[in-house]
Amino acid sequence: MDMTGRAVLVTGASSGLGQATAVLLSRLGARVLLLGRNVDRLEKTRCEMAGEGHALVSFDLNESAAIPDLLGKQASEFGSFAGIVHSAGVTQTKPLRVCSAVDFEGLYRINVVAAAQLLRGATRRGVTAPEGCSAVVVGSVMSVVADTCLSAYSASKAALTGLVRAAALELARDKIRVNAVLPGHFESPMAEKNATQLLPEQIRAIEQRHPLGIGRVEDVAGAIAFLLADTARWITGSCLVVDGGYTAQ
Amino acid sequence: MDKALFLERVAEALRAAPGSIHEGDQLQNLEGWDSIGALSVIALIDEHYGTTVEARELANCATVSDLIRLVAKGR
Repeated sequence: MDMTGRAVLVTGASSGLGQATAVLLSRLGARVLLLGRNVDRLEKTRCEMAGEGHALVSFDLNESAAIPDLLGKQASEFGSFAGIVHSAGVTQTKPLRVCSAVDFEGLYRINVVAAAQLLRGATRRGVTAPEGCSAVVVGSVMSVVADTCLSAYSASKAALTGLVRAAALELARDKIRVNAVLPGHFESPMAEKNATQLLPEQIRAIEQRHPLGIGRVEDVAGAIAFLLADTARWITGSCLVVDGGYTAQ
Repeated sequence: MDKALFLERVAEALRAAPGSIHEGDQLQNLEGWDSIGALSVIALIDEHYGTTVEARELANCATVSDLIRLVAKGR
């Protein structure tokens, strides 16, 4: 996989999967625009990256209405994007009986609406590279299977896969491919935080449901890079499961 | 902390009969106390008392009184 000289925007780049993806893309030669809320944490990501020409932008994706304008501005300053990765996401482990409308809306805002507005921004003239662009969103196996206490999360990730398919059809004429990765459980700060709500036996049960064990961020970042690069030039509207066998059962 | 209100909220989270939960009750014996019930109680404590309770802390609670102490400590 070669991403030499290509400009890629990565959301959620300050930690976990977004950070690992940015680092991998830099090693593949890409110039990466790191997007996150906290500049100091983005700076830490940049320190781990290879190559030159990376930049960072502090932005809260809850401000979804401002996302298309942001893309336009960043493309004119950083260069039109050959890749867009929406790695920012929120999770919640909460029984449906205590899940409020606010809980659902909060998850949808980042997991779905922000993704849609990023794709909308990508359709603007000059935002994507003339040769084409690949957009990859980070979904979850919880969009195709489910578990208790994940109603809002599963619903938002399933909505995201619907968005991917519809957007892929609509944006093909703009030379924009749209795909998703659907990871199983992998080690990340978000998963670690989530695990505090689980008992040791519940964590063991999750591990046992992954035949290849719990994944690492690099396992998922590699799949994202594959979908971004020309290796996936004929792939759009796909949801690539990366789950160590979780959904094979 | 209004203990009566807390007990009422716990009953609601567990879908137990109103007024059926008392301070000295063993959590394991409560109507509706299972993994989903426990997570519902964690959520209510977070929402109404601003305290994030971890699963292992909850696992160390034997009675409703232990739960009240945990919430009071976190506030």
